[in-house]
Amino acid sequence: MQTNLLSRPTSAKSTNMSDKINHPQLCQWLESVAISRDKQAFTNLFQFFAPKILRIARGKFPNEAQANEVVQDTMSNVWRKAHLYNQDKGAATTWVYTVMRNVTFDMLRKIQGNKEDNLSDDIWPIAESMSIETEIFDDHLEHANLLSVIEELPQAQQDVVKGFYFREMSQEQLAVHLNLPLGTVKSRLRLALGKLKVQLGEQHD
Amino acid sequence: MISHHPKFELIQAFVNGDLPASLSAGIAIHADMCPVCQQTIAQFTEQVAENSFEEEYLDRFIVDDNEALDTIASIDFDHMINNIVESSDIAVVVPKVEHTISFNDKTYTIPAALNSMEMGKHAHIGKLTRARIQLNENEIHTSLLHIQPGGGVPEHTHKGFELTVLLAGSFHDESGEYVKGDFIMLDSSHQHHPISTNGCLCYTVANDALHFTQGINKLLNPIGSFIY
Amino acid sequence: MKKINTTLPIFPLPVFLLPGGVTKLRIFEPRYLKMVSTALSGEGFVVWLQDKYISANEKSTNMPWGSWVEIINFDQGDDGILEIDVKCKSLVAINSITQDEKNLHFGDVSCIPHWSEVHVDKVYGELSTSLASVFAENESLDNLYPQKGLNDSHWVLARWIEILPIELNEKNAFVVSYSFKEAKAFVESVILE
Repeated sequence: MQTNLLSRPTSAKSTNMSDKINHPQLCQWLESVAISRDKQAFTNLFQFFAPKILRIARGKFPNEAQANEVVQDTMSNVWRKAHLYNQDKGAATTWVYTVMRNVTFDMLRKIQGNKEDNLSDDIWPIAESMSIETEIFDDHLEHANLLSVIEELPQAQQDVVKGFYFREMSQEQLAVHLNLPLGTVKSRLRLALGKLKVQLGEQHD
Repeated sequence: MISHHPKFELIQAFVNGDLPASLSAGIAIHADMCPVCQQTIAQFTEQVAENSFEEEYLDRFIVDDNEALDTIASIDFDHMINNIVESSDIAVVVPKVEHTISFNDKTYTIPAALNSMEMGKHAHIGKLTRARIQLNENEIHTSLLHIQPGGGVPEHTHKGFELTVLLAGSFHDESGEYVKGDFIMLDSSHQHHPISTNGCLCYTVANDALHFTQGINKLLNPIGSFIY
Repeated sequence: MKKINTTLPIFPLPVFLLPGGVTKLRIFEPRYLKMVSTALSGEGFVVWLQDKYISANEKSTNMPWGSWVEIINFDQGDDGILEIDVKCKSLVAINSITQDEKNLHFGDVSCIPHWSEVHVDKVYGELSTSLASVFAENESLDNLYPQKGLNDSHWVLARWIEILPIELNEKNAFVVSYSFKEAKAFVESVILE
């Protein structure tokens, strides 16, 4: 980021003039991180936010190491969660603030209450109607597990997931498509498969 | 119609992340049902964020620029950047699963803000059932309180404060009727005797106030009227 | 037919794809996100219809095979989850599988020929028009194929086998056992008459 110190009026501090934040630029960097894992864009975001986060964290944590941890965790969440930022829902500054506040909240709870329960993302969600799963499931793509995960989803979500993973017609859809009774379609499928198996058997004999 | 809201000071502290988890969750639950507070929170968050990341605002805290530079120099930013971007991990997002809880054969959806909180066993006293929420906040006790139709809480006061967020159903006390979504904050100067004709489920936060931290105490104590 | 022996990431999924077939996948897990990023710059990955989806009594299904796909589009769903469109470019035999420390599978693969990758300029008439109307009725399916091969009888047949409601182990047989002729007779006897 270019901070043009020379062109800044020297009286800036005594007046109410504020450094305008370049919101479109911040949004663009965040998008680049989200879409292409753009390291330069992240470096730009880091240079803009990190010193400010550090100063704010120093106000909340007397311990320097803890303040550094806030910077580290906040920026690393920005890197890992950039794809959850939706610019229609607000400014990049608001989103990064939320990430920082959540990191700070969980860390304070950890220090004061000795609880590592990370409640902040439930209280202040950073993605709409979703929760962040930080733990990696072991092989949840294995069929049985995947199915049980799917079973647990609300119906609307199930449709979406099934719609993508098991993209094929249902027998009912096929019946509607062919304008035939479901029973006819079922027996057609059965007969056609049976015929194939017979042929296969003959080849192997 | 929701008619009891958190006062603005409380919303400010919520946005700043200065409230304990129990009260933060209470406000989040209320805001989930209250578009008015939702908007206030969104606007205030935007404003705080803007201020936080504006150079001028921060400069106000910096007495000595050299000191600021020293502070910043004490972290190796380049090293931190490299560490972060080295990771190819992306936060995994899963559809929020609704959690439910049953009281006397009635099943309720647990508010999303409480999703990761640990629930204790149910305790029954007459028509009341209470499930403690384990937040480890010392003198602050947080619970889900279920009242069966016709049940009520005996007249009581609290040394500190008592927050009730109505999650389902309704109840009334000497001051009137409360409905789903209402955010009812009482302080020690008030006695009340809530009764639920048709049953209700509440999220409650109360403290014994002996060791209540100063900042928050200041915030909660000057409640002029019975309900604000 | 070019012979390629190469190592590719393996994505075990109950999805049946023939060359030319496209499907949308939602990617949740970090290790698969990593795979996607590798695939974007590399040679794609393999969608593997694992043995366990295929019933044990199908004796002729011993050969592990997968659909070698390339990512042709990606997007973020409304819920923030990464969605990718993948297109199968060839079927491959999976000769061996290893796992890296992130639990991602890699396979040593070699291409296997299949009738569905051969383009044939021959119109099927009714099978084509019927498939065209399935696309017309199903927007999300239609969107996957901006360019359809409705004049290519192999393309039409392959898409029918992908979308027909039959068990995955039965679909599997269209790769390991049945010929083009048998596949054609099967689809025709279901759709026509």
